[in-house]
Order: sequence, then structure tokens, then C-alpha cells
Amino acid sequence: MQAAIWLIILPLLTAFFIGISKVFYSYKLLFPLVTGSAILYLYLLISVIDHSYPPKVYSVGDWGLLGINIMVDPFSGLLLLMIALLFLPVIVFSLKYITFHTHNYFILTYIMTAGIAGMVLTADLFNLYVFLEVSSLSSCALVALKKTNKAIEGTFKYLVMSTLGSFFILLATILTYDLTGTLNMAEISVAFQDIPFQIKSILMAFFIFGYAIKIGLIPLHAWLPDSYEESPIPYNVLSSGLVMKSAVYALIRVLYILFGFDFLDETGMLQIGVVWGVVTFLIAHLLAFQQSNVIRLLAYSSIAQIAYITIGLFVGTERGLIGGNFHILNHAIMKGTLFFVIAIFHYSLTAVDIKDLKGLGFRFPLLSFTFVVASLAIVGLPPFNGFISKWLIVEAALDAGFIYAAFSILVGTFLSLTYYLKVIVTLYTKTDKTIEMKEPGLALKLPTIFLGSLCIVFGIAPSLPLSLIDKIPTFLLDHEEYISILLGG
Amino acid sequence: MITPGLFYLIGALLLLLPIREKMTYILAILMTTAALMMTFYLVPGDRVQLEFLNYTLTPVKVDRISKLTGLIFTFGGLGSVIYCFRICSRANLRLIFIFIGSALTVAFSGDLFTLYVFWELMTISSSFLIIMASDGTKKTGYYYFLIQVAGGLSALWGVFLQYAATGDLALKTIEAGIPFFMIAVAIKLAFVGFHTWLPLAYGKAPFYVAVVLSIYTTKVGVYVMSRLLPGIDILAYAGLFSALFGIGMALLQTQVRRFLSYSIIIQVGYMIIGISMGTVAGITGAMFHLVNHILYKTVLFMAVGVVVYTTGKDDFENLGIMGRKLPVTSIATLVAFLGIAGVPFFNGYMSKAIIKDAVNEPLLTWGLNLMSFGTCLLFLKFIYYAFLKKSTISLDKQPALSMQVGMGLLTVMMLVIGIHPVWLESVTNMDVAIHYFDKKHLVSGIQPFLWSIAIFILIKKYVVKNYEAPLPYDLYRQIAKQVVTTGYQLSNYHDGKLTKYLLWTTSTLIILLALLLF
Repeated sequence: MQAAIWLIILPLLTAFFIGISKVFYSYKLLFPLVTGSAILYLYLLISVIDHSYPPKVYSVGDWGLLGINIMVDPFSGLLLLMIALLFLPVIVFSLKYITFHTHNYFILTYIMTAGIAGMVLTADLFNLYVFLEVSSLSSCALVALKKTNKAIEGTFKYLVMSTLGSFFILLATILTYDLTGTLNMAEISVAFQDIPFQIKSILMAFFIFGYAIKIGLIPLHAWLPDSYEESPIPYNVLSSGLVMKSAVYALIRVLYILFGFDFLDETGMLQIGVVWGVVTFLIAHLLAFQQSNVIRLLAYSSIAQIAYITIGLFVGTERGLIGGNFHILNHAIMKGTLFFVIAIFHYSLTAVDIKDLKGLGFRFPLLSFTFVVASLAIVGLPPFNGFISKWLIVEAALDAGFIYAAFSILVGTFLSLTYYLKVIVTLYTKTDKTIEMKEPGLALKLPTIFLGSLCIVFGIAPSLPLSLIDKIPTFLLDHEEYISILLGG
Repeated sequence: MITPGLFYLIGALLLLLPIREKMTYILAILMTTAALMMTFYLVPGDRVQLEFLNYTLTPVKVDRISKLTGLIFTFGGLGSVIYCFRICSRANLRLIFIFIGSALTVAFSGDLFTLYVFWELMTISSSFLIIMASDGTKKTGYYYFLIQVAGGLSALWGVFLQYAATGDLALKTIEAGIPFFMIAVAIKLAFVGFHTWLPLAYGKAPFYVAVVLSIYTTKVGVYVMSRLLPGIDILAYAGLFSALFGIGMALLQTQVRRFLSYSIIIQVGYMIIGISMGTVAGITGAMFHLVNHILYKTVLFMAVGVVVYTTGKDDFENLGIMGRKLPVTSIATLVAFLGIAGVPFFNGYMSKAIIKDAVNEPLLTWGLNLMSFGTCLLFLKFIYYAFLKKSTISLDKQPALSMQVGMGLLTVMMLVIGIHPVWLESVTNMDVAIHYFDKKHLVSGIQPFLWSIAIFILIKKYVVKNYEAPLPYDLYRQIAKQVVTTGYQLSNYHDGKLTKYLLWTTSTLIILLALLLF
């Protein structure tokens, strides 16, 4: 399990060396360094994911429970899989796309990835917080990369809101340490059995509040569209695909492992989560329809999709967890594809408003087709991947008795079609205007088409990712299992 | 064994290849013929099972009803593909192939999951067919897509309820969630109140799209209804009401394709009544009527398509070109007219006779007679404009040969079924034990036709008058406007002020704490 620790170290090292190479070699070393490291990283990721079942613990420096522990279980395996699917395409795409502050962009991207990998792997509450801060701060810096007024404004809002969230997470972490005297998740979970119900509820509220800001559940979502609007678009792929998802991961990890499923059930948190999800996606869909900027539209759509995930994860059954986790993966793929296509349009003719997209369907037939596939998938129409995960979520919600939630998801599907179809129809409307444009190269098209094709592949053969996802609930629903492995390690 | 729909889906993929125009035609004919042959040799009772997620699906299940439906779907597919491959672009031909393939797969699906997936695939492909077809159809396509997806989602919710109640996805008469399946089927069948998309889409879309859509969209609804919701009495009256409404609306139309769209609503009424009887005879009659209706309605749409193609418009006045310059089209139209009017020895007669025999409620029987009468009256108007009225329209260009071949194929089939109706029974092994050409049936078949001729002559000036088509009131648009306005008001709250964000955040924290502590 040595490889697991390298998942955090390698991107950090790469970021460091990119900085050095900037000083000594300018642009010469950037390309081999970035791609080489990304490919190596992909190899490491695959080897770690391969060993994610049964879960394994790696204790850094052999300090046992005192030191830093890293644990890989199927849930973290899923997040690693998402990094594996998204990271290399984003890097390849960015090498061509990013023409301003290139070094800064790659340094920050690598640090952000290191943070995300750390969050996913760690089994320690304080490390979780540290890595969360690493990823959100570098993410803030990436939003500001363009240094336009709008970008700075968006960054400021993001920073304020994100810090507010982090503050509450840190507060809850400190209180937990104060109460239990340990930061190891397994030990906390054991010690929590003696803590009074009320105090635990408050702690949980702080955790949820903090993470909900990062996730962007309505009405804590306001920073999200503002910060997406002017940030470099390949970053948005990582942001909606990984940064938001890692916050979801951390929240679920904390809730299910620290507090345990029974406690969630007792406090009624499951109901609150489902209702919150329903409210969020209904409003987000309505708001998305109002947007004239495609990136803002996609941002609102991200909020809505995260709400579906929340419902799946809070339904509290095995099927729900499977559906929710599958949707985490699918959303990363679908939203990644959509952002990539929009990025290419932005690259070729700086189009980000819906009306600017007129007629592009005939100019970029393949890319537009990819866009159509991804948007139909995200709407949840068969035979694409989003349909399968939504089907699982609805079925689980219905099984668990959340009939209104299950029905609302179908309403949400309809609402999301209204605005995606608006974009699609604009794409395929002919226009007489001739606009100058840059031809997008293969480096831009390949990652896009790769992710787009995954939408179809995972829709027709969902068993590929589900073979991993099916194992997730075992270690979440019953936290004893997780704890015993962690303590035993 | 595979589903014949697969030929079409593979055909759609093969059309991606950069092949020459001639090859496209050969490929199209090959694929459609192969699907037809495949369907012909399917044996009722065959099935294919497949493990998917946690379910055991039955993507292919053949019985007599699905074989009959499949046969007419593939035959209609052959005719319509030949009709339109010269005049539509390759991208549209691909969409047509996907559309027909999905419709066929629906007809042979043995479980609700497969049914839903391909039902939605039909929606997607047909919507894109409308959206991509021309610049004037974007809004129509948008509307069509949304309303069809609303129907699809309603069916999906029904599937979930059915699955939750019975733990089974098999395709059989529905036990739970019937209202939702009803809405889904009603939208596909264009019941009154759910019909808004039909005249809009068929009237606006290019004529060849209308030809293809008219074969499958509503008919798949009929097939699914016969599977899931047979024998619900109330639907029979709803169907009757829907048909009478269709007659009224059709009379007011000035555009021929909209006129034909409303006439679809009338004809679907027959099938609904047949299916709602719930008896074997009723359902068989409905399915035979589906076959016949596909034949004559497609030919009528094709004939109008030829008129549009040659004169550029589809006003009633333009039909005049038919009687003088387009001999093949004229013959096809006449045969289709006699078929739809239910005149003995033409194809519509047989299925109407079966349905009339199956119905034993006096009100419905009268309703059926009234519907036959109304249909005849309506189409006399059509015939009047096409052959009797003097017209000065001139021909812009000759119709393509392929169009006439496609139309001819279906016309020949109509004649065969009309003269020898028992043949249709023997092909599918469905025996309804009825003497088509005895006195009773002949009289009841010819009566509405003769009456309508008499009435037509009497009140001709009212029937052939060009009415101001009333502006349709569309409830759905009103609702949509309300929703969009709500969204607009909501979006105004988000004005970009950070203080506001923090206010929302703090209130959320307070609410969350309150919820968890008390």
C-alpha cells in the first residue's frame, strides 16, 4: 500500500518542480513534466483502486494509531476512479487551452489534486480538514487566475463563503478533539458512544453546515455560479467534478463513520437531507432556466445534480448509496464533457452566452453531438448513464418511503430538459453570421470525446463501474466494519 | 434471435460511414427489407432474456399481437423509407432509422424497462428529427420534445409504482399507477386535452417527417395501451369523445396536414374503443384497425407530401393538382379514401366491422356510426378539393420516382387486404370468426358512406367553406409561462450582494440547529 501515500506526494512534488522549472527553464520543461507526472499518477491511481477491496490501512511512518493513517476502501476507490478519469484529460486539455499564467495554473491544479486525494485517503479528522483547506484555497486561487474584475469578485465571494464553511468544520473538529481526545476516525467513533445526544447533534449540525456550503446546497449555493463564471473552464471540470464531490465524500464519511447510521436515523437527519435535496434541485432547475450564460447555467445544473446525489446518499438504504455514488461518478463525467465542449467553443470563438452558440451545431458536428449526448445524459434520458443512476436513486427513494422525493426527481428531470433543450436548439439554429474562429486541435477534442463516450458506455454497460460501487455500502451503513479494519490496522 | 428493430439501429450506425449516395439507397432498402423478413419469420412464443442491473429483462418477446404490429411497422418502414430517402438529408435518414428501430423494439419488448428506454429513444429521435429538419420547426420541436418527455416520465413513474407494488417488471396488465400510464398513453394517443402537440408537429414539420411520425408515434401508443390498459370501460367513452372532438376540429382546418392530424385522432378513437372492450375480438379488431390505419393514413400523408413537394404548399386549394397532373398519387389517394371511409372491399372496412361487432353497448355503437359518418364527410371534402373543384395550381416539379414507389407499395397492400381480409388473419394466426361479406356487415359498412354523400351534397357549402381556424387555447403554455415567471422572480433574489449570501447562510445554520436540537 505504499502507492497510496504517493497519491498525495506525487502531485505536491510535481507542483514544486513546475515552480522550479519556471525559474530555470521557462516553458521548455513544462510539457514533459506535466504530462509525465499525470501519466505516472494515472498508473498509481489504477494500482490503488485495484486494491481498494478489501479495505487496506497504511500507517505513515509506522506510528500506528498515533500517526497519520491512510485508508483505502471502495468509497475512496470511487473518488480515486473519478480523479483517474478526469485528471489526465483535463491536463491534456489545459496544456492547449491555458495560455495565461500557465505555470501558476498547473501548480495550483496539482496542489488542488493533492488536496482532493488527501481528503479521500485520510482516516484522520484533522488531516481531512487540512486537505480540505488545501484543495479549497488552491481552488480559490484558480478562480482568480484571469484577474479580471469579475474573476476577482467571484473569488472574493468564494473565499468568504468557503472560509465560513471551513471555520465551522474546524470548530466541529476542535470540539470533537476536546470531547474525545483523539482525531482518528475509528477512535472518535468509539468514543462518541458516550457523548450526550444533544452535544453530538450540535457537532453534527456544524459539520453539515460547513460541508453544505462547500457542496452548494440552496441557499448556501450563491457563491458557486458567481465564481464559475469567469474562471478558466478546464478548472470548472475539476471543480464540479472533484472539488464539490470531495466535499460530498467528506460529509458522508464524517456522518456515516463518525456518527453512524443509527444516529442519523434517530436525529431525523436523513429526512432533513432528502427534503433539502428536493428543495435544492427544484429551485436550481428553475434558476438555471433563467440564465443566459452557459457557464452559469451549468453551475446551477451542478447544484441540482448534487442535490440528486444528496437524496441518494441520505435515503439511507443500500440501493440509495449505490445510486447516489453512481451519480457522483456520472455527474463528474457528464458535467466534465459539457464544460469541455463549452471550453472549446470559448477557445474557438469566445462564446459563452447561449445566443452566441447559434449555428455551432453545423460547424462542430461531432462536438455538438457530444454536447447533446452529455446533456441528455444529465437530464436523465435513456440510454445514457445519468438515466441509470437516477433510476437507482428513484427506486431507492421509493423503497425507503420517500415517495414525494422520488416523484420530484422525475419533475426535476422534466425541468432540466427545458433549459438543456434551449441550448441544444440554439446550437442547431442556422445563422448567416460568419465568425472568425480558431480551429480546435486534437488535444482539445480528444479529452472531450473520451468523456462523452463514457456517457454512452456507462449507460449501456453500467456493470463496469457498479462492480466497484456495489461494495461501497458495506463499509458505510455499518461503520463497525470500517472501524474494526482501521483499528486493526 | 434478435429484435427486428436492431436492423434499423445497425442501419443508422452504418449510415455514419462515408458512402456514396447510391450505396445509401441500397443500404436503406437492404436493412428495411431484412427487418421485414425477420419479422415475418418470427415465431410467437420466442423470447430473449438478459440480466441487467438487478433485473431480468426480456428485450424480445414475440406473440401474435406484437408480430402483427411488427409486420405493419416494418412494412410501413419499408414504404416510408423508400418514400423519403431521396428527399431527406443523411442525418435525418439516420434519425428516421433510429426512430423506426426504437418503435419496433417497443413493439417486441417484453418488460417495462426495455419499453420505457425505447419509448424515450423514440421521443428523442423524433424530436431531433423535427428540430433539425428546418429553421421554422425549432419551437415546434421544443414543444414536442417537452410534452413527449412529460408523457414518458409519467409512464416511468407508473413503472416505478408498478414495480414497487408487484416487484415485477413484466409487460402485462397494469395493477398499480394506472392513472400515470393513462396520462402517458393519452399524450402519445393525442386524447382531447393532450392532443396539442399532434397538429402542431405534423402541420409544421417537413412532409416526409410527418409521414414517418404518423406511422409510429400514435400507433406505438395504441400498442402499449393494448398491452397495459386493456378493458377499461371509461376509456372507451373518452375515446369516443376524443374522436368527435377530432371531427369538429378537422372540419375547421385549412391546412391539409393539420386536417389529417385531427383525422388521426378520430381513427385512434376506433382503436381505443376496441381495446377498451377488453375482449379478444375487440383488441384484435383494434390491432387490425391499426394495420389498416397505418396503411391509408400513411398513403394520405404521402400524397399530401407529393402535393407539398410539387406545389410548395399544403392548402386545400393545392390538392387540385392531384386530379390532373399526378396519376399515381390520385389512384393511391382514392384507394386510401375508400379505405378510411370503410367502404366494403377496401381495407378500413374489415377492421371497422370487427370493432362494431365487438361493441355491444348501444351508445358506443351509435358513436362508431357517427364517427364513420364524420370521417366520410371529412374526406369527401378532401376528395372534392382534389378531384372535383376547378383549380389553377400549376406543377413546380415532378415528384421523385422513389416517392411514388413507396406510396405504391402501401397502396397495393391496401388493395390486397381490402379484397381478401382473411389473409391478414391467416398471416398472424388470429381468427376472429367473422363473415366479412355477408349482408349485415355490408349494409352497416356502406350506410355511413352513402349517408355522408347525401349530406355532403346537401350542406356542401358549409363543409367546403374555408373557416377561420380558431386560435387554440393551450393550457400547457399558460402553465409554462407561470413557471418561468416564478423562476424569474426567484432569480431576482440573487443579485450578487455578499451580505445577502451571508444572511441566507446564517438563517440556514439557525434552521439546521433548530431542526436537529428540537
